[in-house]
Amino acid sequence: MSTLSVEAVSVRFGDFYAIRDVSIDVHQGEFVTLLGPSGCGKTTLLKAISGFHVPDTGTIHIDGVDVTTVPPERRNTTMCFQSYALFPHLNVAENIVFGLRQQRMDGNTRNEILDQVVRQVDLGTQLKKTPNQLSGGQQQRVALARALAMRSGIILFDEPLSNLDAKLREQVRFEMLELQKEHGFTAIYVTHDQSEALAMSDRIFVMDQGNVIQRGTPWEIYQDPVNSFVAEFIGTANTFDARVLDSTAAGRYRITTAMGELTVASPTPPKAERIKVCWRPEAARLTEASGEDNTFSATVGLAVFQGNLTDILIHENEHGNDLHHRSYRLQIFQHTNLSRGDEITFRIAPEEIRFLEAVQ
Amino acid sequence: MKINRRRFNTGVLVAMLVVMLVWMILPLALALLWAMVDPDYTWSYPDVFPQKLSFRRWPMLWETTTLKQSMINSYSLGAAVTVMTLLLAMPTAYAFGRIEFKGKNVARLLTLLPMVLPGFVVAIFFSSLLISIGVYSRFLGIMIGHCIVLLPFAIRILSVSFSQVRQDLIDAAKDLGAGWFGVVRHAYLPTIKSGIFATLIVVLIRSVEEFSLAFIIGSPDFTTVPTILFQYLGYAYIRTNAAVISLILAGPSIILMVLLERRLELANPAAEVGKG
Amino acid sequence: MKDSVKRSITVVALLLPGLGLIVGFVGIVVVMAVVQSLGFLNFLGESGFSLHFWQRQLSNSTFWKAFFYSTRMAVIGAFCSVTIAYPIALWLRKPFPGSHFIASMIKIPLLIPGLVAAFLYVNLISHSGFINHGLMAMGIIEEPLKMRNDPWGIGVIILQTWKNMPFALLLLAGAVRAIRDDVLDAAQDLGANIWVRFRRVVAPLTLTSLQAALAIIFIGAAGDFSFQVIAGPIRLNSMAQYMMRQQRELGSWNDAAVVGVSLMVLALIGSAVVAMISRMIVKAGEK
Repeated sequence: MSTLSVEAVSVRFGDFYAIRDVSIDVHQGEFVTLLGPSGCGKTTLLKAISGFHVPDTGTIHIDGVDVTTVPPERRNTTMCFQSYALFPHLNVAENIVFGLRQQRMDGNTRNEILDQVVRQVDLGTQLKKTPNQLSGGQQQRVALARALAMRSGIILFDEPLSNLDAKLREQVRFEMLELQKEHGFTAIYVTHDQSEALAMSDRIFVMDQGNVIQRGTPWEIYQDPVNSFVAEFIGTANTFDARVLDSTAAGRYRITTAMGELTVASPTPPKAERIKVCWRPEAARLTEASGEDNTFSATVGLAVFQGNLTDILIHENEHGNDLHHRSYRLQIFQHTNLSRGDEITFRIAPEEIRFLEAVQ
Repeated sequence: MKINRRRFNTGVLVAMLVVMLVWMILPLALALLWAMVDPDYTWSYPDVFPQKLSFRRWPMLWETTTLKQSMINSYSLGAAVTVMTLLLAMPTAYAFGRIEFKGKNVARLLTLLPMVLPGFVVAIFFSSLLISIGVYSRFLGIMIGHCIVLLPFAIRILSVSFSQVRQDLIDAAKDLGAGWFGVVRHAYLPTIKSGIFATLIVVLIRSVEEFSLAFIIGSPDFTTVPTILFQYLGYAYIRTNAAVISLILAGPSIILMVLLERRLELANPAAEVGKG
Repeated sequence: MKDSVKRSITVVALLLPGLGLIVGFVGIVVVMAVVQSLGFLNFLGESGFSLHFWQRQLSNSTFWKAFFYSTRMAVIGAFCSVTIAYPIALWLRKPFPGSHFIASMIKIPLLIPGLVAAFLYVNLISHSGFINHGLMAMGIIEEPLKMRNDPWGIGVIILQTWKNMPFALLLLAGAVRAIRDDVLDAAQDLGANIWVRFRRVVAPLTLTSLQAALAIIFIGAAGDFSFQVIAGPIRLNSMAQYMMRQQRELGSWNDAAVVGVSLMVLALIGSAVVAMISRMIVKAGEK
């Protein structure tokens, strides 16, 4: 269980900044996710924390000790690799104790730890097998066990579940979370999968182009994205360019968009007159009344029944032949059988609309 | 750290280049110089450089020694060996490259047998076999020997080629009504062409270079380029002649390097052993 | 059932002209050697079973000198080639500017025929060769040194190493390159420094190639004839040279056969032992 503090770290490859001036603080026992599209610098940051990249500028402290230039083999961090990186010439047990043998630990303690982690990840019957005799899921468990066995204060996960199939991935997610709570290590988890990030993290650091652009709990990130990138990367969002008309009351604004006029209830005022706004598809509610504010009528362009909800695509310009011309998405949880061409009336509560960044 | 690593690499690189210069380039350059010493002048201490450079020694050797006959022998042997080896290797290479069967790995290793026996033992007892069964043609004897010791090379290169032929291409050709000949021409040939070419070159050059069989079966009257080089290196050490013949012998190898640079690993069947 | 029989027949038919020929040829040659070593096929005198030739050779000190000399050259040649090739393979694992050039330069000796290599060496060290000239010009020596046919076989070892190091490199570089970066990273992350990574990850993962390189170089060097004749000690024979002498100078095929069979046994057992020892060393290093 350790704290981590990354201060103003940049890593450069030639002229290209993989990460630039990144600062993050992670508390003891916290599970944080570095989330972003590929190439955003999340893996580079992870490798800087583990010691494989020496930052060009900035410092890294673990438990208050400056480790910026300490090589990976002498850092209190352990990495769980995307490819698992198991030693092909060693069997499962030897893989798991590889790091412990480096520590000159006596055999009994080593075996105790081995027994314990093997039980935790449920690998008891596989100890004598070599990695290529195991399934992908089992290999993932060995990688996890090997990291757990090290008892590091911080375990770094580099997209550890990306090579598993969807079903297994969800199962392992919960197992990993339980192990993390049980062992109490600090987890830094890199992923590009927003649902994984939302499901597992205490806090999420959203990264793009080498910078952390938003940090917060999954709730905060989902509810209050700072810009359209975050809004669209995490969950789905309907974003519009808007012009602020006036403020009707404290925290209530009238805006005009391609959809028409809307009322927004926002504790934070818009940053500019011309601004981007967004609302989540599930914010839309079918309604009978048509006089209320933020109520719109539209023709269903495409209806996809998902069981618990119906996904609806509405094309703004009905005569346009370009499907992507301008469309938005509604997710209706009410039980109504909808199909293409139906006329619907829906409302978006003013509290559900968010101001984002100014329009450039 | 990054900068240190780069500086380290540059340092080692420079050191390696110097070593390489002494280890490879210098001996080759000296051989070239010695091959160009004019027959009318000598090159001895304290001359740093030969007094006069010319290619005059080359035609001289061609006319006054057995070099001409040796080269005819070597290359006609090489041509015959190349064709024979290619034909003999094809079926086995096809089986290795395209058919799955039990014991394939053992069979592959068995093809390396000629390489794990000392060349002179093979040569001597092959010659004793030739005597026992009454084959007195030196040409024929050496040719058979070469074919067999070079088969591993041909099989290895060709089986890799065969394995690279795409099954869907074969299926498509058959599906479109191609007969046996059409399938070979349109599905196999485009892929294995380069393998055949590589085999021809590797086998030809190895045959021309081969010493033990040519020396034991051929001597004393049937000379090849390596056997006359051996003469000039051994009891009748004539440095300038040895230099010329060395270059004649190594020249084709340099061509091999230029033509097959990227296939060198493939061209050595023993490389297969290392793959666990 | 019928299909599989047909299939087997096809495979056998395909293997016959290539593999069949190889196995048949090698088999016959080995049988020839063994049969002749037991006194049969005596081209000069009476043929018939006899252990006479074995007795004669095994009690001959020249035979044993040749045997141990060849063993020594093979062990040292294989060891030197691999020892030089290993660090170069590690160094060239990751491409960098110039690495490709270096890699193709190092391969040159693979393409130079052994006899030419021997000439290049002799040319360099001979009485009026480059080294003697250089040393004399620098005033280090006054008289040319006699380096050709040195009594310790250093020339042979240099030649073996020159010719075989690139071969060892070929095998080792392939194996080293096949080790994935993240596996090495994982080892480092788990606390292994560069030396431990070599011992516990790189060496075990390249063991097969190491053994193959050692064994093949050992076999080649044990059976060496040309390097020994051209550059080796005059007072010592290599096994191949000794075998040739029995046959050429003394005309005894049967004695030559005894030496030949011994050489084959040396090649097989010696290469196996070298491979086993290297495995033991690697396994011990892994601990």
